Amino acid sequence: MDIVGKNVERLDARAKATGAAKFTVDIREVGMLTAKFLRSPYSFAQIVSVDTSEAEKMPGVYGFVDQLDLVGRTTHHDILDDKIRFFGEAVVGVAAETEELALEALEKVQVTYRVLPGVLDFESSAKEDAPRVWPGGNVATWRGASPVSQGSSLRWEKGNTQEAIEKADHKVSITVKTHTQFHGALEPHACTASWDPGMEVLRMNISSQGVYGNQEDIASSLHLNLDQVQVTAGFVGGGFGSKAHNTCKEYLMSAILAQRTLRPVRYEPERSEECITALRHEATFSYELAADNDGTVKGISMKAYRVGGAHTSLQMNFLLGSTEYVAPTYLRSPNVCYEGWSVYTNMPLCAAYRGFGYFEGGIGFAEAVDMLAEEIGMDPVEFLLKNVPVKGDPVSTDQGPLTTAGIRETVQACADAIRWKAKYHVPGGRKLPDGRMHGIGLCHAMGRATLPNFVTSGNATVQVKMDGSVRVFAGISDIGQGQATAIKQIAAESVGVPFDAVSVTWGDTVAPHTGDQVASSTTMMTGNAVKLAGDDARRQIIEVAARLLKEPEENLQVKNGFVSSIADPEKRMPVSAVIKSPGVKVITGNGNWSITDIQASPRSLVVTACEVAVDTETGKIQLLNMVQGTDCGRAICKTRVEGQLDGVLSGGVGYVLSEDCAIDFKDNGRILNLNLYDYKMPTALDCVDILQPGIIMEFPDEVGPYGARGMGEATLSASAPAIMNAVYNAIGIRFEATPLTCDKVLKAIKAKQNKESI
Amino acid sequence: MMDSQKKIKLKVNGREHCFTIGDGCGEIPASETLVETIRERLLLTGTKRPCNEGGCGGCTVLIDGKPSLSCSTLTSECDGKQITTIEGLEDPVTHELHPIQQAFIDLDAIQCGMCTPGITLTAKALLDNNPDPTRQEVAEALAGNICRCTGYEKYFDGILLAAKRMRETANNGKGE
Ligand code: FES
Ligand code: FES
Repeated sequence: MDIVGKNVERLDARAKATGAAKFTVDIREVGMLTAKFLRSPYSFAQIVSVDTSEAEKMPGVYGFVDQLDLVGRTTHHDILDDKIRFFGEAVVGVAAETEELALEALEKVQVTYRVLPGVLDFESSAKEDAPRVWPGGNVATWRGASPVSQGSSLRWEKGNTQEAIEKADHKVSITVKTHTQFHGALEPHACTASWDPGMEVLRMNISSQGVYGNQEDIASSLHLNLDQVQVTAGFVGGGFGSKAHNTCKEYLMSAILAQRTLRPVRYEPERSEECITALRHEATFSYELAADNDGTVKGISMKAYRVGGAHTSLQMNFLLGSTEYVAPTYLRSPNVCYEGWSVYTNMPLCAAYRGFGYFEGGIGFAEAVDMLAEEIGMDPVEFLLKNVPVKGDPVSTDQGPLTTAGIRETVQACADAIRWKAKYHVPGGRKLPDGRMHGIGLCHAMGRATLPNFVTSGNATVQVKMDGSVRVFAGISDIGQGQATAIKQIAAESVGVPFDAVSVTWGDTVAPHTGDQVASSTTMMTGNAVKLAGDDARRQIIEVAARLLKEPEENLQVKNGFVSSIADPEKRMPVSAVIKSPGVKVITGNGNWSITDIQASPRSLVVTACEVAVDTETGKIQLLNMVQGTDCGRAICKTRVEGQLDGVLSGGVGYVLSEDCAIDFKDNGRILNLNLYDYKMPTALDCVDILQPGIIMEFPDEVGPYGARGMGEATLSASAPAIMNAVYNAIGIRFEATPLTCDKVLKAIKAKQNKESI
Repeated sequence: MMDSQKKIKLKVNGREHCFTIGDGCGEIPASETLVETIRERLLLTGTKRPCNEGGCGGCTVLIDGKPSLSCSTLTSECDGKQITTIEGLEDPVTHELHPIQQAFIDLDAIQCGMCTPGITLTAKALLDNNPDPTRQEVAEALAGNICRCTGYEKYFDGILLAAKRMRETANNGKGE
């Protein structure tokens, strides 16, 4: 391979280094108005009336839109009505010449609310007589909202789990509660909208991970044909899942404002608004795990209870992520069952968050695994090595054959890198010279690497131009991982042209529909489509060149921009000459790729090993050392895989050690720390000299383009449980809730000391 | 109290701009922050504004060489100041980048890029004062610049590489 596997320069590196990159928040057009929103002071209320008459008189104020205009339109998979369903939800939007004017106008708007009793957490929502967030009931199911009396959202079993657990030599159980987290992308959920009445097209820039979903939601809500809405997401300042399948109501309202005012409109949420645009909600997981004396897992039983927020959105998908990605996948077991509940609450949107449900689901699972290894008297790494699935094992609900081949090897490599054998000790068994307790932990996490064919397919088009240059149309977003560059590498490789000859149109609905940038699926879904499109273009180039060079097609190859005879490389012509030849002028290759979970089950993999020091006087946990490893099939570009692994220090480590949402459940579920200084994301000072170089294993995946398989989504998901288990190893306390902030740790240490002194 | 009419001069990336502070048409309100002036009036959108309340460092510019949060600085107080934004680091003639920018590109340090301008300018101020910092000193300098994507690792590497290259260039210069 000439280009795939090389550390090429990121195609947008210079634009980002120089500040030339225009993110959605940076786009300005002549005559552009600013949209601002009046937000609900209640968690659940009916909008009785909206009076904008006073505000309309203000010069410079151009137009309004409110909740009552949205009745009957669809977003987040719900048909909107006259109710708002969480504190801070947009009620009225205004477009004005300046932000100040817009805010002044909103002060003059009168809204009459009829306040309704709501439900803010799992317990209050999952009661039979609880107020209903949507008429059907509070339990999310694939069929829609359903009453609590109808039971759980989903369940699945193979074998006879309860019997297997009873019969096994050892069993453990644990219930773990995980907390709420902000995504913290530095670019908020911003958009611009402009309606072109001449062309009858609505053009939008959206800071998005999935332009096609936005296009569908907006077109259907505005009763436009799909292609009358063009959505672009060029440079996107982070997303971490929050911008996937998330057509914010504010986007719809901005589009309506653009149509009403015939002026371009921009919307940029303030940080306090951004924080409630999407959340990782709290959840609770109960596990029972059982194994025999030799350490073979016999049964896994899981129950998941998720807070689903006010909208249907992807609640059920997250629940699958929490359950089927974990219980029937992380370890081999003949008997597995899971039952999941996801309930509607009057809280903000429950959005995807790096580690689509398995981040939080995997924490309790890994703790249970650690407990089981201890119960048997086995080293936890030995236990993992014995039980992790190998290539071909049936995984997940569909029990399709796993294509990820290097799980054991990656676990072993991370254990070696952290010197597990030398450092692992019994819980509470090692005090550091400074008096703090030392602990070590190692966990793995696995996500998807494709999207099921009923969700989407991968599609791309490759055009080879007269000068031999190539344009790839692959509409995935690039929120920072470098997918657009990977697409460029795959296209250059498959067509057979130099890397610099390729330009990419990414994050744009002008390209054919393809999968969103979610689930680490871009590499396989769109990557495979680009490879197929490139192969198609190369085949056509050879077909024409065969006539021109008077050489049979099978004797020709395309490499580095030239078509040449395989036997006699001197006999050659540039690709540009082929395209310029009579009757050609452009060659277009198309690629379409999809897969079912039954055919093959490629799973992304990340392994984290870490060491911590726990100060028993203060409860402070310090991360001393961390190793991240992945088997990504093949690294299309190693430095970019390393970058993904490095990202753990913020969203993963921060989740356990410092980040906590202060939610006031007595006051409408209002979140009190909606900013970046009270909400403690890790800073550079928290990240010095902790992470070892990332370990990249390459066991080619039969399903991926050139053997590659995405891995970015999983990068945070093994870190949280690794830290939880390391803390147990340090002080012998099994935490059953996150986060492990000093106050909580200290309290637990004191409780343990008191118990021991009795 | 501010005069109702006051003229100020800002030198941004070497170019002089004159503004009148006031409430009239085309005038800059006394309450306008520097980030607004830079982004909305000078259209230099390389300076980001991720939080607008002093919590992230994304809006960092250099004011007389010192890293400053432009979201927490009033334009009216910048009279006579030299301001450097990310757009000011590239050599306008040769298009050569600042060694920090080049090192970030070479090491693939940048992911989404929203934090990059702020981090670059903060790092420039550090290296201007301390040409040979330790990793810890780099981290201390960056403590106010939030990055959600990278874990800061490759930024540390990039800044240290740039420092090394800058020292080498300086030494070569002396040797000639
Ligand atoms: S925008 Fe100024 S510190 Fe965040
Ligand atoms: S690169 Fe995305 S926030 Fe730093």
